Amino acid sequence: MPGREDSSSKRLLSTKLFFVAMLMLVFLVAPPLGLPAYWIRVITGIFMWIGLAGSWNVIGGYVGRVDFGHVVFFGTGMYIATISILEYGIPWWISLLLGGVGALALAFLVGLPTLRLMGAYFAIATWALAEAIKQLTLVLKVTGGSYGLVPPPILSRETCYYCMFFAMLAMTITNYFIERSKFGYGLKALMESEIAAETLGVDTFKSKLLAFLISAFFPGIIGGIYGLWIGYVYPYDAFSGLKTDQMVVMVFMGGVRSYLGPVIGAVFLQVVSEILWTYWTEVLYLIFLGFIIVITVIFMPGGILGLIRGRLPRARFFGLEKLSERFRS
Amino acid sequence: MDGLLYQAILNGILLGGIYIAVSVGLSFAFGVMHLINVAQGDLVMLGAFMGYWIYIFVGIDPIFTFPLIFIVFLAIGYVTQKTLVASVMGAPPLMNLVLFFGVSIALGNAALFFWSPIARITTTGLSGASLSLGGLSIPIARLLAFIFSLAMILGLFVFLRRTRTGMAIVATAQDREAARLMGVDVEKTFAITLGIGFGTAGMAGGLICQIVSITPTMGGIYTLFAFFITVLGGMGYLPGTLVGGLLLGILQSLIITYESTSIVYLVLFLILYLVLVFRPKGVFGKGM
Repeated sequence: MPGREDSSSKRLLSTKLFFVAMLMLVFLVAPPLGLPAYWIRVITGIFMWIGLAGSWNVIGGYVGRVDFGHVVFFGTGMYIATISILEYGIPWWISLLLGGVGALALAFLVGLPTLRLMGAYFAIATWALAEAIKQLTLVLKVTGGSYGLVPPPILSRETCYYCMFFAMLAMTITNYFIERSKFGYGLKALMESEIAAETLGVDTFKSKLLAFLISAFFPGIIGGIYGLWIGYVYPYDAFSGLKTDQMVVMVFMGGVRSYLGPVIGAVFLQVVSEILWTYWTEVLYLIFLGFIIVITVIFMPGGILGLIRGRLPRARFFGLEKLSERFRS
Repeated sequence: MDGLLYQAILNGILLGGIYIAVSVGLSFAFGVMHLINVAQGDLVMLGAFMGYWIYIFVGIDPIFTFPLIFIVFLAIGYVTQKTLVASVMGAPPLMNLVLFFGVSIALGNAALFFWSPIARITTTGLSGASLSLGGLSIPIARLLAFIFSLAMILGLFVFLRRTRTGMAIVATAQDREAARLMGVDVEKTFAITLGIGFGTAGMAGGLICQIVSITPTMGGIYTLFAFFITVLGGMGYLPGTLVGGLLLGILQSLIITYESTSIVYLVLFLILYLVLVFRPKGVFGKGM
């Protein structure tokens, strides 16, 4: 809320910043202080999903195009990073970047024609493309077909944890700044009406493409880290539709079109699934996931953030009340 | 090997007839209410299992139970529209997409939970029986399924042109508000539309279950088929689905005959993507 910040809200902001910084510090120092391996695994997973859901929020939330094939960037990064390590012996951190750049290049190639499509057409096109590329990795030699690839175990558990941590942090900070930038306001305008935004001087196509590129780059990086972390890369995991499903659910559950929504959604769903998987099978978890989507869409279209806003109308939750209000209308 | 080619095309046409029934509901619901039912394939799966279970417990050949399946799914679709979908009708258009997405995940996995992933095949008295005609063999079960499927689609066309309810649906598709002003109960029309969409999908499943083996996870493939046909024919343009269905059947049959099954989905998904990007209104340019 630029221009309306009085001294008390500034103080509130710095208090918030302080708490967030402390929390990040705890995550930074926890592994060497003896965080058990189980918790390192769980928290690495949560970081990964915050990053992935955050990336979906850019195209699905800020631009308002439902991407049903977002996992394609994750899988592309995963394969490019693994292949560049296995075939060319490139240092792991460069290969992770290569994965991100590969996803970026794919998004650029695909984005030019695909972003012209609206609503359902865009959703089906992205889904078809992701499935086509999954099928391609199943028949290609370089990807190892359905057997997949096995990257060397060069990263320790802790290194993967830190890589995911910084990827997640970078994605969330990017979203924070998108919301407060001229670029972000342009996206908001074009989501409401593309023609109106165009007449107001927003280069709608460039904005959409840039948003699409941002939302593709981070899953590319995260996919590479995931490959090294899990130690096994195969098509049904790398391009699993379930990964896209979870991104969508997390964003809608947490609260779409806000940088905090994916964080809340990812933490909530990962914790719930961790608990459920201990007692339940995957199938039961997925039934639950389906119900969560239906219930979220019907009863809380603003997600958990929207609920918090609804219950505490005066709480000024990170200045998001206007955003979710817009979403409800 | 001309005989092989003709046989492959014939098999494709017979299969394509059923694919029309798989996809017509998707195109129909999109045309009338701009709703994308991504759970279409899961409805086909449920219809197939209903046909299978009726055969197991009652012993009626699934080829003859499709009217019953149609009516049951019609009712389910009607109620779904009145309850679930009506509550998101005013929301941004992507919400009903996400809603059906959730329904699809829940249905597919519930089926997997209850019926386990094993493949089931319905073997009836008609299985294996076939007519032979000029060196080509025509499996009777497939032929009947083809005929019933086309008859049902024809019935739908007549219903839309000749009955008051059908004309109300067409009017609503053309202009929702104008139809409302003319006294059409738009909400009821929507419910009937989704009912028909569900009904044809379930019916298609019932016809399929005695032709191919069925599993709870087959929904995704039939959703792909439905989208492929609908997009090729032009979304919301019903005659387009006739051509799209036959095209898909023949294409699939030819690829399986002359290439390997492993590239069928690669080809289908690629074509689907390219058609969407270059001809989003379908090959006839008549979509919405």
